[in-house]
Amino acid sequence: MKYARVVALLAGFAFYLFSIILQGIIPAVLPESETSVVSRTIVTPMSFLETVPAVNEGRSKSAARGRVIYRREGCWYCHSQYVRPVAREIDRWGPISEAGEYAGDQPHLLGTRRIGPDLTREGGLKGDDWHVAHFYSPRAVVRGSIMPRYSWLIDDEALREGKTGRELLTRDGSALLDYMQSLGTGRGRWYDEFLRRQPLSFDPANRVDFKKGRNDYLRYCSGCHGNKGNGQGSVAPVMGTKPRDFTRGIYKYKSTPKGQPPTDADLYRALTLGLRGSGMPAWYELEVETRRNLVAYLKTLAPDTFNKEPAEVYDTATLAKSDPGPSRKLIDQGKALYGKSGCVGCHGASGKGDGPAAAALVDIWGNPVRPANLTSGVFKSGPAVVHVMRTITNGVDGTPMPQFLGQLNDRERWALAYYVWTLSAEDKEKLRAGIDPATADKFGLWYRLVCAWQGKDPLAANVPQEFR
Amino acid sequence: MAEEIPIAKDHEIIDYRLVRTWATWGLIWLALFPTLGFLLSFSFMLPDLQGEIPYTQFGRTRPVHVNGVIWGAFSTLFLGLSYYIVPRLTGVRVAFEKIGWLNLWLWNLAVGTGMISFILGFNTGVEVAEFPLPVAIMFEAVFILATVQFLVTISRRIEKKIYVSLWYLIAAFIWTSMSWALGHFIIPNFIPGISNAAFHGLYLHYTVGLWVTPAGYVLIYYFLPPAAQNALYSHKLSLIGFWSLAFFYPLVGTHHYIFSPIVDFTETIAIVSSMALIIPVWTVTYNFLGTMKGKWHLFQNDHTVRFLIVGALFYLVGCFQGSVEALRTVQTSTHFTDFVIGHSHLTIAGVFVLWALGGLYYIWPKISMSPVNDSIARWSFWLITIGVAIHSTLLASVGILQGSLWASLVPFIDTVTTLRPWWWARTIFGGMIDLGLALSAYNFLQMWRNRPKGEEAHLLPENLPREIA
Repeated sequence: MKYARVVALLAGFAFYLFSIILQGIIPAVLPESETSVVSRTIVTPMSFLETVPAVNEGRSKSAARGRVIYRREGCWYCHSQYVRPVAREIDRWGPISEAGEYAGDQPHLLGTRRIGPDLTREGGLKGDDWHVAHFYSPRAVVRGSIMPRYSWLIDDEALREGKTGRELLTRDGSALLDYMQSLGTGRGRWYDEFLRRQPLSFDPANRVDFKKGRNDYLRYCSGCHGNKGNGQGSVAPVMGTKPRDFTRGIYKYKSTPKGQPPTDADLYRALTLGLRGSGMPAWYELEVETRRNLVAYLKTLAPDTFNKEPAEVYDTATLAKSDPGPSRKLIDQGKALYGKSGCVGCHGASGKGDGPAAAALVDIWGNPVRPANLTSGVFKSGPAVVHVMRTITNGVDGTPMPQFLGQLNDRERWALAYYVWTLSAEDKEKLRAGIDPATADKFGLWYRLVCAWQGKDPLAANVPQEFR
Repeated sequence: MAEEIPIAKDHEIIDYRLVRTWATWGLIWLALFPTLGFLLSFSFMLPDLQGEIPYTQFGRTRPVHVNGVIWGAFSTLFLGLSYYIVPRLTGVRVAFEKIGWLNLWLWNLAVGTGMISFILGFNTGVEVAEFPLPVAIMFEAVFILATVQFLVTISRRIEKKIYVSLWYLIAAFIWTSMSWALGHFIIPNFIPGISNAAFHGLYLHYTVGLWVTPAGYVLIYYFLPPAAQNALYSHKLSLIGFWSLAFFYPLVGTHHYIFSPIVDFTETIAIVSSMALIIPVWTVTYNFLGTMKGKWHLFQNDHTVRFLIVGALFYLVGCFQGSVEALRTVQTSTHFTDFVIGHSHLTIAGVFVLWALGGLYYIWPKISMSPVNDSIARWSFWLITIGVAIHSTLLASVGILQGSLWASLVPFIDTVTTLRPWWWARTIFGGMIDLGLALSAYNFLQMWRNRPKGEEAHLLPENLPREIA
């Protein structure tokens, strides 16, 4: 009799409660678990990248809804959401996960299995076009992918009407996309730091293998760019910004003035870093050899363009030599130039890409183009101010963006570049001030107990209805 | 001097019809849910096979397989066998017998509706606690009712000594009544942030460590000695096994989220406890093998002994794998990979389901009063044994390969395509396991159909004498 009671009370209750307290409650009430503060990488008003503490951004209503769909469709069975400090995960996925990034998440979606890639830092890595095409036909975008086709996230009506990009999605699909694009954005410009670490040195003397290049092209690129490289891949019709037609040999982000062929290093850079915010992902995971072969193969697609060497090259290395370094005066000068040099017409006075001429712009392929939103902090040209400088110097081929080489001198162009780069700057003091020590631990168990005691609703601010 | 205790005959205290109906449902789930896993595994090689409707996608069907095997197949069989074991070990009829029937229908209704709700997209997002609220409440009701039933029964027992199976049974039911509520009611609603993951890790291992494992122990501790016709090898070892399990197993959960932002000391405690689990695992396994002393010839022909002992050997391997997996160094390259999947299949399919089948091979001839079809039983045994052995070894290797590929920074998609042939092999050997399980289920159902008609009348509860003792 007695022994049954010992079993029930000691093993059944006491040991169980001990484990809940030791492994559940104590860790949960520690400030480091309760925090909603993350380390956020920002561009300072003086153009430097800096990582500072900041409160994790909440999700938009739509993204919160998308999270429910992510949960409903069981995405989390195949996609994990945490980056570990081991197994070179920081080189593949980005910075290590922090507790504050999960503030308010209920349930957590860390996942226990990684059949597909980790999605912790997915937000902004690829453009909406890419995601829409990928939901629509995963294997066309990523050859060999085993993700199911989520074609019911696509609105058939819109597809028939020939709409593209985000407009193709149903309400659920659009919410899911918002959730995808919100993942990891609390960490700010981590990707600029991450992409700057990618080695870009390109040794032209190295031998290349065209045949391998072609195979790898068919494997990694043809879904969007087409087997012939003409930009007519099978998912091209659903993409808003069409994949590049390589056969015309017109490249947008390059170190040579308009009308001249890009350098090999340009192609290599675009391949490695991707064109952030567009459908072109970063391919830094590919071996250097593979990327080199791909570049060589791409050049064979437009022999007319590449049969001559570029006459002038204003690449980042050359331009960096004239870098005056950031200063208040320089940035102010850039601001003045931004008004004077015609930038406002397309990019708008605020830099949001909403200038008076913006709506009517068409590129050389006949597709409407939107001027870049310079305040978003997403630059297709690259992850540093020198890349902006390169774009301003050489212009963007195939689009109305002119080259300012010759129009403005080195210093003026640098001033403009610094100004544009710092349009997305954040004030670290302001971020720091946003951390209210009383509410930084807003979502913790302890805070909730206090709220329950005081009769307040602890989640009133940030957590969507369905989790309450 | 001590009073003479009248020893009850089996049929006077056991409701055979209840046990049989529970077990029949368990066998139906056993034929169904593991096989679903086999079908699902094809989507790794032929993803378009899932069609273009939401209901067949991996994300919706995976929880059906996982929960179906844990709660549907294994737990249903265990609950059914409990209604056999408890009266046998206490010498009295189960208290509030009618509740056993209520539990039966509530439980199977919950399993059925739960699986349908997954398909329809109702999912709490907490792995292994995915059931939506109404379904979760049904399960919780069964756990609480059964706990009360069994505790009251044990308090009324006429057997003074309380056998080790009952320790585990008492603890398992109390633990799970609490942890089910934790997983389904508390974690999805009241614990936000990274602590949600910490509690979920705990819950995950409460499920396997405080329900599946002790439940399996109940079965093997109960069925092995009579099947081997030997006394239990060592009472002292079973004491060490029980108390070390009860102390260490509740602490290990956080090892599911090592290297996550969960506080480091919690992870370290989880790792240390995971390694300490070697104590219960090795002592109980030694106890099982010791119980076979002098009776190893039974291993040749006795189905119960075979299933139980092979299960015990898989248990030794699987749990060592589990302990080692918790180490930070090992986890670096095995976490998130198929290594974990291999471990879970080795332990659930290769150990606990095998033990439940072993128990059934012991009692089913009594229940159905017809003999086992030896040839089907043998096929089933070898298919499961070979299937599990290769399947798990294979997935463990695949996991290490996968982890190394990730760490080598090749494009992620190449780590997927490289594994394709391995996944084909996984499907084949997984299919072997499922076929073996289904064969045993078929064997039992067929035995019941072949029962000598009219002779089972004495087993029906209305013909049993009322409460004895």
